[in-house]
Amino acid sequence: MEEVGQMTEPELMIEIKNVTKRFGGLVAVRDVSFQLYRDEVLGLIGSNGAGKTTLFNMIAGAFPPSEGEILYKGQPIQGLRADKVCKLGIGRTYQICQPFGSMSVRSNVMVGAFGRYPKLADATEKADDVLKKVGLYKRADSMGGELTLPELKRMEVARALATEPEILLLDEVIAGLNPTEVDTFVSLITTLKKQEGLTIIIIEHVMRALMNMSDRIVVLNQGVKISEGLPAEVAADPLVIESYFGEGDIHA
Amino acid sequence: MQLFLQALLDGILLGGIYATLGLGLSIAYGIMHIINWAAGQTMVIGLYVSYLLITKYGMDPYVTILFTFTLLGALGFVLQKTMINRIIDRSGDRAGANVLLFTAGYGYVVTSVLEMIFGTLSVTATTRYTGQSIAIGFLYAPLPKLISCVIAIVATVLIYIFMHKSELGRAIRATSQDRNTAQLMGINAKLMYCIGFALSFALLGLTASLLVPYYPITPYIGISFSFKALIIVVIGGEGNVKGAFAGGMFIALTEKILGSLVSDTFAQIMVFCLFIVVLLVRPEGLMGKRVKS
Amino acid sequence: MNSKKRFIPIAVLLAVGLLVPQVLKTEFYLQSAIYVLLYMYWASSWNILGGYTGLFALGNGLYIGIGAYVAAVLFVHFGVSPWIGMIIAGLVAGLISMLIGYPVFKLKGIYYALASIALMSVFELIFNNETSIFGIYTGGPNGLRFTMTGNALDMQFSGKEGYYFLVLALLIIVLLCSDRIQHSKMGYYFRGIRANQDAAASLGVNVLRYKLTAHFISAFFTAIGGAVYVTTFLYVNAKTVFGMELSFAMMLFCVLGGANTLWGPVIGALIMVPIQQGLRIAAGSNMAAMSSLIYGVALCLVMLFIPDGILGTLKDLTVRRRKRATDPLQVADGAANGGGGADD
Repeated sequence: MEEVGQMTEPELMIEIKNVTKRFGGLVAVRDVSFQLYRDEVLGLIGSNGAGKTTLFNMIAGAFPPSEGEILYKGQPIQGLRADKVCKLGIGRTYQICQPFGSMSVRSNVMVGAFGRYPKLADATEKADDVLKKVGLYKRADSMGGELTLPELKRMEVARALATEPEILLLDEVIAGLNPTEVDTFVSLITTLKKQEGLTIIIIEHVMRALMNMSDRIVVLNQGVKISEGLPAEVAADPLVIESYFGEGDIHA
Repeated sequence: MQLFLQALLDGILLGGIYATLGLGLSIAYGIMHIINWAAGQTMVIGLYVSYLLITKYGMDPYVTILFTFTLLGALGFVLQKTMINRIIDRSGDRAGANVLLFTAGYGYVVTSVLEMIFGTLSVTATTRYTGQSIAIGFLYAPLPKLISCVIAIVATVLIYIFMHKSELGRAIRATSQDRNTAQLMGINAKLMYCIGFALSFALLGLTASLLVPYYPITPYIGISFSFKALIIVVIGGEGNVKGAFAGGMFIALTEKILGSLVSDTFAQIMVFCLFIVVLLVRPEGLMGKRVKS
Repeated sequence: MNSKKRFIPIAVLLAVGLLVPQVLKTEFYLQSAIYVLLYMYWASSWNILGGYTGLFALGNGLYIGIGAYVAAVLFVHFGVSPWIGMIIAGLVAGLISMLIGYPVFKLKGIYYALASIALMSVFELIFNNETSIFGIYTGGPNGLRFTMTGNALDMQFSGKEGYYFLVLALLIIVLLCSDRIQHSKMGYYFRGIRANQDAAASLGVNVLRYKLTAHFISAFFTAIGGAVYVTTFLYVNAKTVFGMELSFAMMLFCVLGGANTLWGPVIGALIMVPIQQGLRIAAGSNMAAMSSLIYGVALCLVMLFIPDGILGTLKDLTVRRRKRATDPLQVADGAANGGGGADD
């Protein structure tokens, strides 16, 4: 029992240890290490080709690292199959939305829901529940392929949420949205995080949103970690400023 | 020993034909990543065209190449332009399956139409080359097979030069590697598809003319040739000239050597099994580049 | 959602099915009806793999052959009644499907199709050329004849009605099963795999396991159909049961009617088989060519204009009509004209 006012050690959820990934002769990620603690939002930034999505893919089980370890609550998960990683409690979204276009929105989310609710009625209920939380319930019967971009992004999140993850990997969920949509989405993520008790790693190009949402930030450049820390620290880091200078990534 | 060397020679002679047959399929697959399920049936059209020209006009079988090449080429162009391009556009990521099914349907249409026109009986063309052979040491090579093989190899080399050295050939290959970028560079992707498909059909026509001097023709042999073409392309390595050539030679040699050692049926079974093994172990084929998942 | 109501069409089918033999009395018509039901059955079995899960198995005819020969051999050589033999045949086919599926499902879609056809051809060659397999006489090119016992316990009925009702029962069973799958976790997982394999995996779907499951179920039912098919004729022959015609027809009817729907395969067979049977009367010697021609043209037209099949395209149109009804611009128009569209 903790006493009121006593600081407890934040729980280490994911540890990336010296992870390297090579594709043939190309080194996409080189000796990257960082940690993710419970209840935080960790921002992952870097220009295109910095290795961010590759890292996500390795955590989520799409492919294994060439070197290094990925630990989830102390257990190594590198090389585990994607569906096993999901069952352990890590959910992800994709940079380019991957809807099940020929299935309804509700069915899309149900595929995720069935993981924890094998019965049809329960899965349906869970899916509807999640859809209401992300504000897509009105579109539950539309086909996955019919949605607008903001709606597709919501559905991606909804699907992953339906698997009741502890950790959510959000890959550029805000890219392509206009400023109003961005604000809506950011507040949605913040609300969901509180409601569902999520720990989040988020990849974004939209700096303003990322700075606002993240508790800490890790900066990658060409596969190498060049900075890590609080948003203010990272923004002031000369290495970071240098690598972004002229990139045009600072999106108002 | 003599038996083995004869089988080896037979295999090489057949290999040339198999190479152009495989090319006929490989070019279409390499460019558009779609499979023509009815390559064999298309070739059979060429066989009948050639046969008619020989029997009605006394044309030399190798002169019929001009006709089968252009006629089938035109057919391929039209087919691609009017139908297949349309299916590709409408199907999104199911394009491969839909085009495959379409060509399967087309194959049935071809076979049945040919049957209705020409009946079910087998015909073989008699030409001035029939029955003649050339002695090579203690081996013999039937003359038509020898000439056909030589022409086939020459054609393969010409196609290779075309695809790699000519501007049009390079445009076609660019489209196959990256359609979007090619279009940005001003290449009309749809036209490239039409030309590519036309070329693949034309090669099937060529193959037909090369076979007609000695192969018995019925409307039904198309299916087995189609499947053979697929095996050649897969084992050789999809989508490139070297692959079709390697595949064609390899299959032909396997068929002939195993055929003379054991039996033709055994050879057939072995080829299928080899096919399955290659699919499982090395799907990119003998000449293909290893594809990373 | 739909619960009991969705069983109505199946009940209707059963009722109609039971009435048919009262109307069609001739042996020819009854045999044709058996073909129709059998193809509906096979197309529905194929649908589980090719439609729901999106795995284009062009060589599933392999399991017709396996089912046929296992049941035949068990009956002719070991006296096992086809009632039991067909279940065993189904299980054997299912087992083989898993052995094949395991390495093959790692391949890209088209390679999978090719591998399955290659296997079918291998089996056809072997069974056609060898008169004995593993020491058991299978007849080679002459096929294997069943011993005539005329006993219903050996699945030999005196008239065609017996076989008709048997195939009808099988069809109902496979439709019920198909429906059950559609409305369960398995069905949703199948369709997720069909739509986007990687996304499905990231949502917790063990893709390989479910592909194998779909394959097993499909092979199981297909093989049972093969067993019944040859029992109807009291004769099994490699060229037929391992041939491309049956394999292709299964797939064609399903695609024509609409793969990935429950009734698509039924409709596809319902349209095409009577055409083929009708040609048998009309075209005489040209029959084979005419029916191939019709198959081919039908397939081309479907791929050009309605690649989702009849039911699939109808579903698309309904969705589009409903979408237009809820489009705010349209609704405003509609309201102005005194009537709104349905609200979602």
